[in-house]
Amino acid sequence: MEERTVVDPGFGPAGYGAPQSPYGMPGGEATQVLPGGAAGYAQPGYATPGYDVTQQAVGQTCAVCQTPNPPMERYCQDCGFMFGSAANGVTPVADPGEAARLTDATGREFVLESGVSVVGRESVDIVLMDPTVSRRHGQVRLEGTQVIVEDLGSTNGTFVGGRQIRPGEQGVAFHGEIVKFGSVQLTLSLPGAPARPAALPPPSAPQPSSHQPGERGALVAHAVMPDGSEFSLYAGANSVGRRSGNDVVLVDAFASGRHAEIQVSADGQATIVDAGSTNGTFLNGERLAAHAPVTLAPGQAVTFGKTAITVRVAEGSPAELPAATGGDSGAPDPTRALNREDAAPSANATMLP
Amino acid sequence: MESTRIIGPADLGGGFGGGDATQIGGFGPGGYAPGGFDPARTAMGAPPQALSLDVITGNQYAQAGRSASDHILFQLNAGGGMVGRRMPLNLCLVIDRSGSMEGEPLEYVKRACGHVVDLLDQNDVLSVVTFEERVDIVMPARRVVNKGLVKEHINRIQPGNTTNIYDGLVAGASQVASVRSEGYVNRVVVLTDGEPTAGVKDYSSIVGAAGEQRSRGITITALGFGPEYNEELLVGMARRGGGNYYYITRPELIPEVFRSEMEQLLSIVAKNIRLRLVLSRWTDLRQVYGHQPTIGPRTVEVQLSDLDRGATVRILTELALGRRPAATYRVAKAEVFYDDCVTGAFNQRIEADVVFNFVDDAGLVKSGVNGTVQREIEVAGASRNLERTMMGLKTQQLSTAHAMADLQRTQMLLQQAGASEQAAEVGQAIHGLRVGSGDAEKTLIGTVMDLDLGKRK
Repeated sequence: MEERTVVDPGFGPAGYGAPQSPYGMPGGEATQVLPGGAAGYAQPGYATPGYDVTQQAVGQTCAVCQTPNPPMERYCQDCGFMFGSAANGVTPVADPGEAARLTDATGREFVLESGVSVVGRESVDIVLMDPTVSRRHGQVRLEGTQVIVEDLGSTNGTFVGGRQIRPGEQGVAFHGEIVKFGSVQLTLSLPGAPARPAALPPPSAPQPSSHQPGERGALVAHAVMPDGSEFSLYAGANSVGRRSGNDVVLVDAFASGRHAEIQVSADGQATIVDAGSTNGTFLNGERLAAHAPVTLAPGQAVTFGKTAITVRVAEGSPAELPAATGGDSGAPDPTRALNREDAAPSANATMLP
Repeated sequence: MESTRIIGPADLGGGFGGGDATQIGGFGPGGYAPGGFDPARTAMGAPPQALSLDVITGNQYAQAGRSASDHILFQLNAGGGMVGRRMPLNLCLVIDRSGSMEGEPLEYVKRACGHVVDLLDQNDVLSVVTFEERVDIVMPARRVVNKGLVKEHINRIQPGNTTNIYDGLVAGASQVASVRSEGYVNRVVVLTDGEPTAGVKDYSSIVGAAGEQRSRGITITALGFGPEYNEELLVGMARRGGGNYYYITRPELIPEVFRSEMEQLLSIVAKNIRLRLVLSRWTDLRQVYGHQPTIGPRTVEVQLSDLDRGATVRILTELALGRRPAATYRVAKAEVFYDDCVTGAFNQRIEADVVFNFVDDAGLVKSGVNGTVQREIEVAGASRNLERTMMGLKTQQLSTAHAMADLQRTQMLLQQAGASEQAAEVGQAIHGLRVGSGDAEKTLIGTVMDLDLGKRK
């Protein structure tokens, strides 16, 4: 029996608790529709006048979720367990409060399963119907009691505790922290797991000095813009995009808010990774695949949207000058210094290798 | 189908309890409250339900002790065999009389409006509004008593200049609102052949106005005529307005489309329809296909279009089912609320349970897959394919040949899934591409709307 229809006639108690047709139940268990027969339900009952005496109106506690139910209910009002439908009895399910889950502002809960749950707007594991959420936005991986959040090249970004998780990065989220996809805020519950350890400063904590060596990587190269101006590139990943929080800010309508990344090794070798930009990143006129690192030859121009940039190895980079100070070379542009401060808290993130 | 339906061709007259006399006699001046639909009076007796709800789960089994997700199809059927009084209409025809409508189109529109008048009776309320740069109330809302006079008004419509859809829509809706009551099927039918060129022109304001009317109980149907109108705008109005969208290719088809809209309006059996899911513990919503649900803690609600006699609407949802020990569970309860347009009983409610058998036997789970639901998932996929093809055509990233190949695939898929009407529409679009008439998108966008809203004939 594939289909079933139960139309509540909606008037009067005539249909209430009356024996109903067997109901798609396998193995004829359907005969035990009403409580009273199953072990453990022997509670003092009273006969309701006008009803068949076998239909005793007893209160019943759900064997699965332990919720007390009013008499005559066919299903547990909380978990939906059909009373008497477990042939061999059931072991109560552990309190669902122990499940790892994300809860949104309306109280809607997304229980996390072990492994990867993809978050997005369409046909994914966790569907968030919000215009600021990309179709495939990010993913959440539950490993034991640890949750790792990643961004899958979303338009509006993925954040853990206020810090942006860039595509390719892995951000650990702790119990009680807010994970944000676009503008949808979800609170992570990891019962039994610790909150963010004090040793790891909360991501929102102010970071007084942002250019300490070792924290961010040393200044190893410069991105030369078409107009001749330069942005500093540090060892490690440098973000490129239209938004002001990027390490290299593009004034280009064709650039995505977060367009790409320039990863620079300690010796100034640059690698370009497109972050899933809308209008693409181009090398020699060819569009790079998103999230695929491509090495940049010295002096070679890379085009983000419509802006062509070359990377110049910094004089006095760690290659020549061991134990570099890592500070900006020359007098830094104050606005750029500000941008750097914005980007700096990435050092606070708990990064996994 | 083993569905049981609690609908019979029962005697509906009984529910009215002597309301017949008032129904006929109550034409006092300004007395627009139709006699037979006093909710206080019609609650007696046990009228049969206008709607029935089938719940079809993608699989009757689920693996015990594991979490899973499954699709559930809710099928809402409007009784086919019912005879009874229909709810009177409160209709406004909003007609574009911009310069481009001059000649044949406007003449056919007048003829079509004349047919509409013929189909109405003196319980119905009609108003006619025209728009160009400015809006004219050709005929304010009134009962259709003197049909000849109404037609005279209509025949006086003259072509003007630009196209002010927004003001036309708002004026039409306010005519309907002036006599609006729960005892009417309230509808505004807008016909246009062009882009908005005067007044408020932006998409979101116009579509927002349509949505606003719907929340007041007035639904909007949008008719697009000819090659120039903005199909996205019209579909937006119809979707948010809870009515229909039609694409009219040639002027001589205008009366036909009016007739088909009227046929539907005159046989509406339920309006203000809402589907509400109450989720059990360990059940979560993944998605409702083609709808924008309102989500609360443990509840999901979707607003549905009015249903005419014999129509079916399908709502496909996906639920995440948490781990449960082996047993039978109601994972969600489905409730449908609606106003019964035949008995005049408001806020009716029917419900059905979404039940899964959680079993240990993986073989059972494999065997329990439901073909109907699988087909519906394919249809939902077809709708996304059509959207992609349309987008490709619009951005010219897809050549005509490629688009035709894509459409042929989708057409086959729809055919196999039993959506033959939609498959035929896709065929029409393929033909349009082949002859280069440039109207494929105007057809397809309506197909996508109907597929998304689960309308199936």
